[in-house]
Amino acid sequence: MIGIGATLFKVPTMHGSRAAGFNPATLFASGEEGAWYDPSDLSTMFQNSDGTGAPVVDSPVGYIADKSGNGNHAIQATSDKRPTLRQSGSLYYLEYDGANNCLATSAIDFTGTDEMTVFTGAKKIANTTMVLAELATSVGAVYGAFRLASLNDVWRWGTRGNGLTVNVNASTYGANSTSVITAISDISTPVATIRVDGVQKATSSTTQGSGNFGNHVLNVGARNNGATLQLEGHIYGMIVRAATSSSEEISSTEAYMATKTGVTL
Amino acid sequence: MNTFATIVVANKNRKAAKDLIGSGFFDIEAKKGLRKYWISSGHFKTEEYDAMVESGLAFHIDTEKRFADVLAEKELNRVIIDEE
Repeated sequence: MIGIGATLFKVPTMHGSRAAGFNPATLFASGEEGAWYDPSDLSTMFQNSDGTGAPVVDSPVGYIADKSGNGNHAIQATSDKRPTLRQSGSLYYLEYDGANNCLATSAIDFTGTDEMTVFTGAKKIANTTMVLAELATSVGAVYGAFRLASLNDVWRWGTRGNGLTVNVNASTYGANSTSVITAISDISTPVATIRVDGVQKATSSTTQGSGNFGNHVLNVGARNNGATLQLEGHIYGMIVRAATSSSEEISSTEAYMATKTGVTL
Repeated sequence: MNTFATIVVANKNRKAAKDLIGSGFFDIEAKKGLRKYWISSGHFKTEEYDAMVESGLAFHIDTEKRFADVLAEKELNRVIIDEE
């Protein structure tokens, strides 16, 4: 159940100072399941999926550690499917080439909750359907799944329990858009919400069915370990949290992600 | 060490190429007319890249261009599975 009060999505105006001193690890302090990937922390990455090979800018990343404390590290065993670590000034990001890059976790057991919040900073280079993050092999084919994606000139959040996928779109964000995106779901309430750059862009109370999220692989940058819907773009950071989030948590995390992405909220 | 490359193999050589460097490679399908090709593009380990070069299995190897530009140059059309 949502249980977070009526002010959940009424987020106050963000200030850059809000990111200072905020540590996303606090989002997991109560044992929330999830993952936190931070390409700006070079100590968390390796070139190879077995955790060997120090990260080097302009070289592949085959392993990125989960900083949430849940151990949901994302890897890519096939060398040509690894994204590239890039640096632009003080920013670091994973560059996905639109061919087949993807990082994926082992199955994450989200069966204990029907709530989810995903934060990311991302750039889309192409203007096509591309996955930023997808829980399960395909949100349309599997219950208890979600997908955060680009669809033409929108950012799209899709989520479901055992019903049909409910999609909410944020527009207009075409090719070369760089955004801080927050996606929130509660299956039982029901609610699906997408925010971009600190502003709520769309929300839906259409039923997603019932039940909790599943025990599925989390794919970052493509569908089903790179098989389809490959991202041509950048990922500056990503946090997946099996809980809805308070307005303070949302605003602090969005401000944090904005500093990592180079976006002004 | 790694070599960034786009490697194209003809359909008849796909299995041999996978057997050579790994089953996870050559999963991008492309067509040129009625001919089918399979592509891997990205960071290859040097031993994987060298093995492909020396095998003679490749239809085309490029180490300079972006994936999309290689497709355009070789007039290959990626097979897109229509998914949302």
